[in-house]
Amino acid sequence: MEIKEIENLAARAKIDIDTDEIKELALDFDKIFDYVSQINESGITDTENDDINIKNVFRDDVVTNKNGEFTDAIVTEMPDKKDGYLKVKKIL
Amino acid sequence: MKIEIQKLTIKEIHEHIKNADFTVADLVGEYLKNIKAKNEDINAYIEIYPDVIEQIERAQDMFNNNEATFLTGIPVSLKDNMLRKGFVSSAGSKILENYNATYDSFVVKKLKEKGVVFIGRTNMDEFAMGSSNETSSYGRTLNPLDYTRVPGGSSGGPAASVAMDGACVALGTDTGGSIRQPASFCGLVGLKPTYGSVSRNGIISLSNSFDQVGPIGKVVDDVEILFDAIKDCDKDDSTSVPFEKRKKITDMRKKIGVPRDFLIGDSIDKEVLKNFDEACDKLRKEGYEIVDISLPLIKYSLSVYYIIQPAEASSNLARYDGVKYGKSSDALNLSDLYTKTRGLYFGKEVRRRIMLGTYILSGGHKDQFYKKAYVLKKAIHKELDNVFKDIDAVITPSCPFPPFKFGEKSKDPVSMYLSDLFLVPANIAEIPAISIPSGSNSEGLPLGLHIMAPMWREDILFSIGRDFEK
Repeated sequence: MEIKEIENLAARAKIDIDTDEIKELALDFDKIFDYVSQINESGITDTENDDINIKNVFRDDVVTNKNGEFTDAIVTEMPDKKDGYLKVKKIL
Repeated sequence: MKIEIQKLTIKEIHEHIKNADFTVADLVGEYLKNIKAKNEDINAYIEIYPDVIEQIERAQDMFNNNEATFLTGIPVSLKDNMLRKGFVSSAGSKILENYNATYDSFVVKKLKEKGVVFIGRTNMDEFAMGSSNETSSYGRTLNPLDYTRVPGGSSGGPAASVAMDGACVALGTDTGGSIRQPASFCGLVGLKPTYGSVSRNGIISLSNSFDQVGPIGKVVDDVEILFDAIKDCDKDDSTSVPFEKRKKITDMRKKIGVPRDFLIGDSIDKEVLKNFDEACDKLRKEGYEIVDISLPLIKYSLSVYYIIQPAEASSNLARYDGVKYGKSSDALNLSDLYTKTRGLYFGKEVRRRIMLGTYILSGGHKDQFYKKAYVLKKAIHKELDNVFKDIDAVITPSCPFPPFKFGEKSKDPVSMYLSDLFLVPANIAEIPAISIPSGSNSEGLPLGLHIMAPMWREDILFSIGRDFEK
């Protein structure tokens, strides 16, 4: 795999990765894709079932907890907060 | 009386405490003594819970009030990816080093009701990505049976905690062999239950289609007791299956299949195969008919797994962004915060799998990989369902090779992935499977027998396992 392609992937996965690791990953990816490409030899081309048959499971949209029951515990875990609110860095 | 924790089963411990031969505190004290002597080297535990004494008192009260169950007072270790309210759960990762769970996972809730004593949280491959415990951010865990070798992974810590007598039983998670491979490497019994039988609520996800919680112990009886305690249906996990739908179709016929073609390959150790043949003989002596079967598709399981699993992992791990909880890096703006936090606090294998998954799910490759793998997953499931019309179970060795040395496979990801070759088909087909100790090789290293059964038939695994244990 091309170095440029790995750099692109890192950007899309939002991970800072140094140049050495990118080179290493290019080699690893070749080995891994070489292995998993075995699936092409299976002869399975199940076109009848390619709707994949998955359904979403929903529950009724009702509140099941007391107001504020978990707020303190969750806010405590936030890396950056103010007055019970989550602080997020500038986007623009 | 002298408490020989190496030899006692859960039921024996229960009788002793009931008869006041020893107390819960005496029992737990023995395990803690072992942890103090061995954990500094073995590194099975990342943390011993600070509330062990309170838990002991509660369990002893249950005995005194005649409310005790088999699991009351039993020392249990938790894998570091199971939430326990108020305590850190880090999934073996630096990115969650400071994360205190805000609620109890379903399995923790169930075991709390039974009055177990949670001893501590155990080491694991980071986000359960690994087969040797070498990818943990908290140092490697040694195999208690041979310190130069890996304990297996990703539930290496849970397995080591039991093998070093630092817990009576442990809970692990199995996405592609992560309970059964370390159980085999540490000479223990490990069960991966049917997908949907144990709630995943409160378990830090790796790959939702495959993740399942299960027990590790020294004998089948102990593993069965722990499984029975956690196998409840849970409305908070949409893949948890109600009891009335957990159908058992056939009776046992004492007939077991061996997929011969699957046992051929350069990566499979000769002594492992010899041990497996001996295991087949042993089962014949117990009255089982052993027949060769053909399962032409299961050899593709590992390839299917290494497409679907990284794809789901890349999506799951998007939540670790340095904003909501866990570690956060200094940054100028939001985008910089994401990339720096994830680059700095995710380990190498995690970075590799997220990027693999990102590639697999990207526009040009989705049909080439993900969709094909999904269709093949269904075909493998069907192939195994069909073979179970004639037989009770399918057996193979647990691993192609005995426990390996540190560093031996960490340079080559594919050779590491191959250690789960025989175990992954059960995750792909969502069926239950167990690894049972099967003696050792000429170097004295433990080997395992792997048994797979139809959906919801853990009882078959326990039954064959008990016959094999004799």
